Amino acid sequence: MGTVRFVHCADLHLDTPFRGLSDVAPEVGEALNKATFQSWDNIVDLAIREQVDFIVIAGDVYDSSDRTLRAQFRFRDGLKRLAERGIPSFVAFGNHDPLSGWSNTLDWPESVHAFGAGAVDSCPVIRDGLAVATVHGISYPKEAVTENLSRRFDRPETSLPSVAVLHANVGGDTAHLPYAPTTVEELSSRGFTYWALGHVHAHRILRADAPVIVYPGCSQSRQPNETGAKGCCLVTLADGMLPEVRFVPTDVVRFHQGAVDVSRCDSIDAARRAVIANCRSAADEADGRPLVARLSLTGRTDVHRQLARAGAVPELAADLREELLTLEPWIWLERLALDTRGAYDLDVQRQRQDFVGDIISIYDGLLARGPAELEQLREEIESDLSSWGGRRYLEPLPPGAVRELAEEAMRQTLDLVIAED
Amino acid sequence: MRLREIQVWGFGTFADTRVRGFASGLNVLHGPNEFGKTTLLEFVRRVLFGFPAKRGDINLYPNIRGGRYGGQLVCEMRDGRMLTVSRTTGKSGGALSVEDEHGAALAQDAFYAALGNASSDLYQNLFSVGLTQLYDDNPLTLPEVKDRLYGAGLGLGEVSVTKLKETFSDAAEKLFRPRGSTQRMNVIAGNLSQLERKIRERAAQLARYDESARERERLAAESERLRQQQRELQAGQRTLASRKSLYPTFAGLRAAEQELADLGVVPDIPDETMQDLAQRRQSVASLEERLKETQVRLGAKQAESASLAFDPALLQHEKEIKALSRSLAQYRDARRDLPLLSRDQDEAMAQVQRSIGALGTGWTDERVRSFNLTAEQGDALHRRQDALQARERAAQKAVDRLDDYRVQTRASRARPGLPTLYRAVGLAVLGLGVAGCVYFARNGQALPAILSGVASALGLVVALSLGSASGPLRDRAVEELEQDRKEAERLLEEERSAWAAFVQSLGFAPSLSPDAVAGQLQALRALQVSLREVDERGARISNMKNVVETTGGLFAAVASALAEPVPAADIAAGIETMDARLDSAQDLRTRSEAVRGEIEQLEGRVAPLKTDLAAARSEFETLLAEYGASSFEEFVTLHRRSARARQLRSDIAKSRLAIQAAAGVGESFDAFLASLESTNPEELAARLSGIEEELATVEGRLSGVNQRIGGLDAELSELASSEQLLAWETEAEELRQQLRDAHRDWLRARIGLRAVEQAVARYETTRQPAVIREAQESFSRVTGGRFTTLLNPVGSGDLRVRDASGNERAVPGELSRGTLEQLYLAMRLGLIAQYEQNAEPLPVIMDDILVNFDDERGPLAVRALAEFANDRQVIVMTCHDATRRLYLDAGARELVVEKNTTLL
Repeated sequence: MGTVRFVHCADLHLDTPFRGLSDVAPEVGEALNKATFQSWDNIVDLAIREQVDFIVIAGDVYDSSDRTLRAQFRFRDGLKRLAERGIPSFVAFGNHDPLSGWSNTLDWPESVHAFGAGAVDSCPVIRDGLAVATVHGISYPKEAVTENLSRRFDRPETSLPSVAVLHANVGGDTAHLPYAPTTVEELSSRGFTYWALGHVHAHRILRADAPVIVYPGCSQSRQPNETGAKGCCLVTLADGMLPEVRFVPTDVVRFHQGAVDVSRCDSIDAARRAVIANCRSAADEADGRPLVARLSLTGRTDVHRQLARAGAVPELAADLREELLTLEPWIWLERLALDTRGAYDLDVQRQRQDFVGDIISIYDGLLARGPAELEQLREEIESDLSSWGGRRYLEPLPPGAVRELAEEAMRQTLDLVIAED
Repeated sequence: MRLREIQVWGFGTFADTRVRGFASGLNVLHGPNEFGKTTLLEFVRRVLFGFPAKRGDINLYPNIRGGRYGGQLVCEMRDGRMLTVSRTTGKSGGALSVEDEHGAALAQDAFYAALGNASSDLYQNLFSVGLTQLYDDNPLTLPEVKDRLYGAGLGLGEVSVTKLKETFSDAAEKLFRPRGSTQRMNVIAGNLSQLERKIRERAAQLARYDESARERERLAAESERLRQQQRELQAGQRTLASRKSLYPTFAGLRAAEQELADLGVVPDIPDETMQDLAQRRQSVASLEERLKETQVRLGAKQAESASLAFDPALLQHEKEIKALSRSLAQYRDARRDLPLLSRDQDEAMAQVQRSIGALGTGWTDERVRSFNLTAEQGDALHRRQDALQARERAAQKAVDRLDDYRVQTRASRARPGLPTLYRAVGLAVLGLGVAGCVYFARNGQALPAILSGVASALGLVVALSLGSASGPLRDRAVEELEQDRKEAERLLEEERSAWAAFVQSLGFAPSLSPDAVAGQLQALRALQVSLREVDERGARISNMKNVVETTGGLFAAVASALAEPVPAADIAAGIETMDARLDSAQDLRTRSEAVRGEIEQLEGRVAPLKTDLAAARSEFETLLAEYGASSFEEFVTLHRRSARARQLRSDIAKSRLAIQAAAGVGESFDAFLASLESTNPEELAARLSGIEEELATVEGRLSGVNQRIGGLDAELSELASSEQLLAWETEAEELRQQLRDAHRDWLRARIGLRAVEQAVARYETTRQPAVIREAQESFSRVTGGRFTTLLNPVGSGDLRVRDASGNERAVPGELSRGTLEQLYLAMRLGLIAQYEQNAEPLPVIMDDILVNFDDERGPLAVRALAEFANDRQVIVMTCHDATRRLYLDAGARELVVEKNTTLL
């Protein structure tokens, strides 16, 4: 059959807002707004540059809830560029862009095949008049698809390399919605050469042996916890050889999270230098991309009480932002959290026979509670919110959040009540 | 710190006052009302913590007695140091000075730090208490007291439980309140709600994109259909509008054609020909006019010429008349002056004859006229006169000298004489002078002659003088002077003879003296003048006579030649008449000559004009005949018809062109004309109005459709490219993130608050502070065991008491005044004990606090105070002697107040 090369991408989320950020600088906001489009342009450029035989997009091109026509037009423009160079595109739609969300009036290039939602479509990839591979896929008819769509994929009746395109949660990834749930085993049993998956935003190769099962991850991070490189996969299928999967970063802004140990810092200025060093190190790894950094200051330190002073960390963060933003490429310090401890010995304090000893004992008891009890505590406290109209905007706290809050409250309390030596 | 001495320099009623006798433990100061106990209490407080600024009705305790304001406290510190604390007037509470026993100054901050940084309020509330404060002020309500009360026992350092709780509760309150509008979570949620509504609206617009796109396609088709209909209607409108607009042209065409037919055959007379004929006619008329005018002017000139007649003889004697006219004035002068001049002439001649006769015989008119004295003769005459006169003066002088000498000789006969030599010189001078005088007199030189005479006189004087000195010399001088006189007379005679001869040679008588000669000469000259005047006047008279005669002759000759007689009686008037007639004749002659010239010119014009007129008439008539007209008026009529026919043909051509421009040529033109033949303007207007209405309707619909298309295009473009939705989404995401953060902050604050509250509750039940315990014991003791328990929730100023029966009472509402004062006293004692654990004990001053204590509790309170004073200095003040004795019985030491003493 020769060699077949294609680009596998997913979760472009074009023209969708970045999440988890607030009060970003205008230039940063502008760069972030353009980032998903530029990432898509990078994928198209890659396909053209590598002269691939085709490209598959495994869902979530954009968010239907945040749908903008601009996203669809920009997506179509990329597909047109591919079509003009004879590169066919195969698009399966996922939970964020189910078929019900597409505009019917947009004209798609003829070489674009959008998989339907009724059944798995199978399309040959023609090169020089001959079929060199087949691509199979199915789209979400609506957002929430709980059916295991992989079962609709019949074993391909061809000896050509076969690529199955599906937007699915494989293996019950709890960080993502459980749509089209399936398993590696089930996918492995369908007889395809390559499973081009979408849905999970981190690049993962679930199975490196035939059949190869791959999540390319999202093409561009859109929230602080999506750290590291984001991009697509350049796949080469050849006779008698395992598929070659090469991850190619396409992101234009990279996200970074980290803890800055300031236990050896004896001044706020030293802590400041530690943060800058951390950011510079992350920027070096970003390969020339702008960086959005979320950092926390950690460690038992003498400057804890200075840092814990009201307004100290926001002031430090503002100062750092001003400096980091002037770097080329820029770094946006999205958040600087304080997670340091005072120099006092908590165990010693715990032995005190006074109010301080009592309050540590209260916190110890609180933190000794199980998740359910902590959840109960949260519910008790939030009973004040029960009649508040804005309650609907509150998101469920992630697991362990109440404990984190209790620990933070304890540190804050002890910072107040324990006298400095 | 213990007070050892108080020195009041000046404060209220106190001046130069010392209080001494202080000891550790209990001290009592007894004094009646108005003694100044409260003043002393206030003095201690203010020296320690400052003089207050003036505000409200606060008592500033002004220095009534005058002198230095303020004072000092001598204090013994717990470490044994003796400090002198003084304060006087100054800024910020007055100038404070603290010195130890060695005179070393202690910094103000160090001093207050030693006092435990107690504030003025704290000191006033706990340590220096009067009755009013004891009753009115629950010491626990003072925040500083509360924090200090629990701070130590709680182990909280500088932070209080209240502050701790406020930290969390304030944080939570700032983040959220159920019905709040300014709290962060409330604000974010409100903003989010608004933003989501906008996003939903925009999302709904996006959902309409496909529908809008289809609507746009449908409208585009409708627009095209309407545009086609519009084009057809516009074509019909143009046709009808064309017919309507050309109908008048068409009607004009037909009318012109008909009129042209009615005109029949008409020769074509160009306008130029008409103009040519008119010009020829005008030329004939003009020539006729000019000929007539010339002939009239000729007749008039001929008549004028006939009227211009004059006497030719005047012109023939023009020269004579002009000569007469010129001499007229001379003639008149002669006639007027001649008689007068003749009379004057006669008189002058008679006078001349008389004057000649006076000259003497021999003088005639001719001799007088011819007498002439030449210049040489004149000069010689003068010289002769001078010489003669000189001779006469010399002779006289010689006589005078001789006479003078003879007189002098007689007067000076005794005077000695001069030397002979000098006399000889005098005589020599005399001789030379005489010789000179004679010589110059002869030559007519008067001045040298006079000088010579003078010299001779001098010589004579000298000679005489010398001669007087000598007799012989004197005689000789007389002789010489006599000789001189003779010589002079001789010379005079010679000169007289010469004069007579000279005068005679001039024609005068030789006997005439020089003066007589001069008189005759003058008379001769006057006569010569008169004779010349006579001669001149005679010439003039002769001339005048000649003028009169000549003019009269010429006048008579001319007058006789004139046709019209001239009056001869007055020749001068006749000359004037003659001259006037000559001027008139000359003028007539000039005018007659000019008229004759004009007549000749006019006569020369008449013939050519007649020739030109004949030629012009010929040309005019030739042109008339050319177009068959017999008269100019007939020609004009023919020309008018010709011009009308031409105009009609032009109008027809223009109308056809105008119609062809709109309808085309050939068959379409014919069809257009045919269509107009079958209609009329009213019908055309009605049809046009109808089609215009229809067109307006279509265009209105088309405009609406196009506007809708434009709106849809804008909408679709906006939807396809707008970044607004992303901006809103981003903003919403930011708000959600802010809400997440605020939610976490709020939960954290609430968790913290809950933990603190739980810790406080636990502390209250398990770790009641020592101060409460001590106060409880004091209170129980003072009340004789009536009350057993004191309760105080942590961080609050609320108190409750429990009696021996277990009943609780609220404070202060459920306690009597005395009991309440006992409770507050107990509380203060406990608080002071608590305070002293971390700071320098301060002297406690209490002013008559036992007033409301009964006979049982009063002694109990004194005993409690005495026990309390075991570990510190307590100063009690009272105006009651019984109370004083109670204190003294309890071991109190009495203080001594020395007023008006001498203070260092």
